[in-house]
Amino acid sequence: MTVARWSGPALVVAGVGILIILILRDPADRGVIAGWIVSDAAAPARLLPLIGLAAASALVPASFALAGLAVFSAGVLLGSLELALLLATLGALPGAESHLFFTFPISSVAAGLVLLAPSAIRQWLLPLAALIAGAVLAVATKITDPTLHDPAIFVTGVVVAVWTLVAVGLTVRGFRRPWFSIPARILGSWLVAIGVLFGGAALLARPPLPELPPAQPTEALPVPPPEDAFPDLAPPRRDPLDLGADGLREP
Amino acid sequence: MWSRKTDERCSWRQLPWKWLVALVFLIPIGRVEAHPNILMNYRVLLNFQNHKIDAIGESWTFDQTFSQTLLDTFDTNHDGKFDTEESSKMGDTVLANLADADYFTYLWSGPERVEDLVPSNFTATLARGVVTFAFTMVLPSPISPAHVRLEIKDPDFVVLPEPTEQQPVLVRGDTGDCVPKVSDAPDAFDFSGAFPQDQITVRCN
Repeated sequence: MTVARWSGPALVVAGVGILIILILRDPADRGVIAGWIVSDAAAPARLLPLIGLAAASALVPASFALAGLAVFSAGVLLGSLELALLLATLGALPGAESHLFFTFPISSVAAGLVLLAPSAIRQWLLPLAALIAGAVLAVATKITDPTLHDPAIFVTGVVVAVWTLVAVGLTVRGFRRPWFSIPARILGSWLVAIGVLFGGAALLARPPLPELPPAQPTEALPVPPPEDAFPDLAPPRRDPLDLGADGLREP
Repeated sequence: MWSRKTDERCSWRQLPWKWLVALVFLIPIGRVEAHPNILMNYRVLLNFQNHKIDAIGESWTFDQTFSQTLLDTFDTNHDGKFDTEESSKMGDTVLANLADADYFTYLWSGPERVEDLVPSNFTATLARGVVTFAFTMVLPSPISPAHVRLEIKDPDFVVLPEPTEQQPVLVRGDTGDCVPKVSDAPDAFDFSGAFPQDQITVRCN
């Protein structure tokens, strides 16, 4: 019982400790994945809805909480497999591409509504919110990938999310009191309000800008000149069409 | 006394909203993030043999930020350039990761998608602060240029590939009277112009 009670706080302490170590490291020495954890995977916008969802899962029977975690995983899988469809759907909203396709407000409102719901309904709303949160987490993870599709980024994003759900969920469940439903509703109302405010502010139509002078052309990337575009496909220059046994060949 | 109590009650009633406002403005949850993350200029080489396209070459040049990421990751001896071993390791890693994204290369011959394109001869060079990849793809069988359509795109919308301003398509070999053309891809979902998608076709007279 003691182990079950303190396993959540232990995970929280371990997670926060790892995050602090990563934050304190020189950004130049962090590496790509650690830098992405600090800037994206463990950013408040990513963790806040998960914390809300975890708190909600701690207020329902354990079987529903486990089902919620399983459905969250299914949502991650769904979001990963149907990324193009989700991006096309969310991309229809104005400003979507500059607001992470509204992944934060969607998951925030979903988690908040579960916390706000009456106890009898909460356990049935949890899987639906978990599915939505999982799917948008997959979208947010994929579109903030700082690499060329390194699978380690996606795995890391999912691990951070599941760690947060389990750590916070076990902590709240281990120390649960009857009056927890009151702060749960306060947290829920905050999540809904923050999600609506953030999403609404991004969606609000902006007044047209005054006529501006023509924009200066942006500096193009220093692309190699055409004759140097394929250096290894055409060596040596004296015979630029001999492109090697496995490369391009000239008749 | 009564007045003070009233003030305290007002204060407590307002407190959650003060916290809400503080959360909205102080926590960087509203950070606006523009996408895509990585900008890439590409140039394509179409190789002709017997009036058919039998291979393509691609050259990708990345923006300074991502180029620095590549340098930090793969320039293991920190000499500011990629030697053969580093370039080879980068090619193995990057191309393995891009296999599921079809190496951003989507080629059609008429209505049929040309699949099983495998890159080879990968090289990475660093010049003027940007990294350029170059590699070759030999087609499984030569295809007629008149019906070819090529799109360079990232299905996850993380990378924004754009053709180079100057000579985005080069041709080599027995081209006959075929001329490449870059145009807007039809039916491409471009997020209201945020992700413009181009296609390369060949016009033969």
